[in-house]
Amino acid sequence: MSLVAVLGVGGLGCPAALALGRAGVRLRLVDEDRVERSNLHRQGLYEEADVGRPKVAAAREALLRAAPGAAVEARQTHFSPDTMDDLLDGVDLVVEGTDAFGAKFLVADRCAARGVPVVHGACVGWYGTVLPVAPGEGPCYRCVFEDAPGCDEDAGTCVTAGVYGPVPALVGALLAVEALRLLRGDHGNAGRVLWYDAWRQVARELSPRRRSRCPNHQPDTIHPRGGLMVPAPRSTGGRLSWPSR
Amino acid sequence: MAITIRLATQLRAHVQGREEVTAVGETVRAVLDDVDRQYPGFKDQVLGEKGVKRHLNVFVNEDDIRFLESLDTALRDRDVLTIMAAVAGG
Repeated sequence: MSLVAVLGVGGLGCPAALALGRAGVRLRLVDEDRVERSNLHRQGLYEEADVGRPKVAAAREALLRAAPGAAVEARQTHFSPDTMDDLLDGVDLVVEGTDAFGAKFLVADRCAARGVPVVHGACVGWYGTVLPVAPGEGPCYRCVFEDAPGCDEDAGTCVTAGVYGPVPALVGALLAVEALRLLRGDHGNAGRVLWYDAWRQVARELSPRRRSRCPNHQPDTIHPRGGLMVPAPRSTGGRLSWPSR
Repeated sequence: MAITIRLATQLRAHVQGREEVTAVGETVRAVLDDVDRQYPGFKDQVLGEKGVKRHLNVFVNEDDIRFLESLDTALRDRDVLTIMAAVAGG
């Protein structure tokens, strides 16, 4: 049975974990936060009585109620270069739904270095993005965005821009879909960014290229943030398509 | 030569909340200049000292400009420019 690490058990991690747990996947929930009342409108595994509790503990209990017998491991810790290797130890896939750019790049870099597939998700306002990444194929998160925005740049987070409750439920479910596809060995969506606008009910698919200078794809070099890089295969091409509505 | 620019949510506040705008220009750089003329300050949101900000991606129709001629990529009438931004949150 596959082991999936759900990094960030918030608006995206809750629905993704629920879907994956019910699908029979073993889960490792990772989040250092405690449940806040402001989380409840979008983080469906928590209820009023959970406010103040560690998210991973409350989420584990909720998952076990929903899927008795599920294998759910809870780790209340933060993501850092020091903790990441332990958090990824033994996992078959990562679902990344964190709310910080630093964590996203850290996860992307370490998953590339370890050859672990990862599905990245993000939500802000009425829209969200999903990026499945298969090691050795297509672009990774750092190929697409290169680096975290500076603190003076207008980059969206759910804290600064807010997020509407139903949107992460949708996007989180999509993370689970892509996770299950990758676990089944179907890499057809790897490297494609799904950009979903819930307000307009429009989904766009972008297929960025792997960057030849991305530090995650330099053969036999040491990444500046640590870790041996996986060899870089040929680019899969970079096309952007606009599905009909 | 009319170019449509589709904008990431974070950039819409700088163009009076519009999801897309139109501009003229023969290159990506010229189009961004024209948008900046219409909405002063817009270009500063997209460009840094070394070109397009690293958390943004600019596509001309289906192609990432990093794999074309970057800001000097030539445009044709009715091309569509898409600016995609990194977001975090959930």
